[in-house]
Amino acid sequence: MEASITLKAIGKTFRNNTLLADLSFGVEKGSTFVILGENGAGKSVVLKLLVGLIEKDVGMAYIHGKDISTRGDEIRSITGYMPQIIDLDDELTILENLEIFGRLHGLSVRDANTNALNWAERLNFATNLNQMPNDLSNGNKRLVQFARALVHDPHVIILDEPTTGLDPHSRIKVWDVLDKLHQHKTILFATQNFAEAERYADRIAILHEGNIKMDGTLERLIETTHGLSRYRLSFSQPPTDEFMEKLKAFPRILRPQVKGTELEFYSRERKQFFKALELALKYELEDIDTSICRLHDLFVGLTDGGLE
Amino acid sequence: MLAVLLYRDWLNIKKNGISLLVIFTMLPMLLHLFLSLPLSNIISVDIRYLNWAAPGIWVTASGLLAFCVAILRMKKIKHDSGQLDALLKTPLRNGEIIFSVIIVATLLGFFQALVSIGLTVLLNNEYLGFGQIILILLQIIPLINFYAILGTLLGIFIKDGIVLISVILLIFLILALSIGSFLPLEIFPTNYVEVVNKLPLTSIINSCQMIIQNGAVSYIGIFLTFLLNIFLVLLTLVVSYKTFRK
Repeated sequence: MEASITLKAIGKTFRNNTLLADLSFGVEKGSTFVILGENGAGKSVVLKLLVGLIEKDVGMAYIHGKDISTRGDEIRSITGYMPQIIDLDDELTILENLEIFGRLHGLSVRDANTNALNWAERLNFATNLNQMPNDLSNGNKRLVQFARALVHDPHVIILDEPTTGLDPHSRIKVWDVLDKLHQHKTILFATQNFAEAERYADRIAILHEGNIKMDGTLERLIETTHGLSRYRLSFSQPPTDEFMEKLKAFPRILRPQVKGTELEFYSRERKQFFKALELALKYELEDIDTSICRLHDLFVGLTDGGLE
Repeated sequence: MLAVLLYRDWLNIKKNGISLLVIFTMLPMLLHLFLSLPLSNIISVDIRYLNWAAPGIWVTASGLLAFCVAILRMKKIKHDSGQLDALLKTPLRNGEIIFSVIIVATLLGFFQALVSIGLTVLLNNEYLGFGQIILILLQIIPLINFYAILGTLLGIFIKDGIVLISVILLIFLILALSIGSFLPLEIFPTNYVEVVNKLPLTSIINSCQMIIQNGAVSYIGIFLTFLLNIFLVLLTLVVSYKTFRK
């Protein structure tokens, strides 16, 4: 597969804070790539850097083979970007917002109007077209921003937490659109929503403190846990110190953590769980839950000192 | 792309057409009412004071309007609600954003000058020939442009509302009271007059006063203001390249 986005050893510092450190990854044409990361991990910085809102200090970045430092204008004309904050022009109506941004990306007056109306219809805000942005709910503003990122039919779609602030129906609408575009466009989005990442991403990168901790397909990422499972025991009272001491003595029980009346831990061996269960039965156990490791567990492990 | 940005501003101007017309009319009328008329009872010059001060009204109203439009638009783009990022993610260049602000502010300043000339002619019962009006506009346009560029440059830096109001007030005081618009320079200390007379803006106001008196007009002010404007535009572009993309 041909590369659509390539980042090589990108570094960026701002006011003595390292935002990105030796960051490298690639996104294939026609694929959906997700960047997962906690607040401040550098997700938005990566996306802003790709659309030229932030300049890198070191490294190379290309979109469709074009260097972002020297051919930024060309890149921006084939890229649609939706930021995390609402940045609609509050002096223009919704229709004018879409038309002006379409035209700024090189569309003719007629095409900008047709595309704007088309997206308004598809995303169900056609009745709001003559309203000002400040008259819309935040969710609708986000939908308009989403449409604005797509109005010029970009080859590369870059979205920063696209479904944040949207109601469930709008979320589904957004993902329906992205699902349809997925075959022809390169989609790069940043999110903190694990379910969306698991459902829609072809590849996932986990970003932590400005660097990629791990990336690959969901299956490959899960494989790296080597069959680790998560166990949760619920008690009527918070587990006692005595119980925790005994539990920690078990050799292959990983990251035991108490959250209120719940105890959560990881293990690769079911036998270890049975031993813990046997112990827990002496302490007013109310419920148990077991599941194989998912993206969320892997993320927590990678960004919080490791699962093991 | 510049044309699209100008169209965007046109859409906004259309929405605020009535407010702008009120400002275009009120600004010169208030200057006439609260500055020219009271001062006409105190200050005596070679010709009737109200006629002598008319160029002051044209220059103050149009310069101030151009400055306010530019500084407010640039402040909004740069500092309010992510407008700059929204524009910079399109294939626009910094220069196009800067020029759109300057052009719109200069054009609005130009219309303000036309309205001001029309109103002072009516209020003062004076006659200005077509040739004189053209000469006056030729003198005033570089000055309006100067204030539009200055507003754009300062708008990049000014975030705070209080600072913005203070700067606008300062510009008003400079335009109205310190360069011979409403107060003849003869009443100021000699050392100050020597410095102020060297400013191209003072020369422009003096030239406008000469035009209505059918006196000898100097064009050096236009030329120097034009050079100053080029320098300020270049400075604004450099500042934009340093500050727009972080």
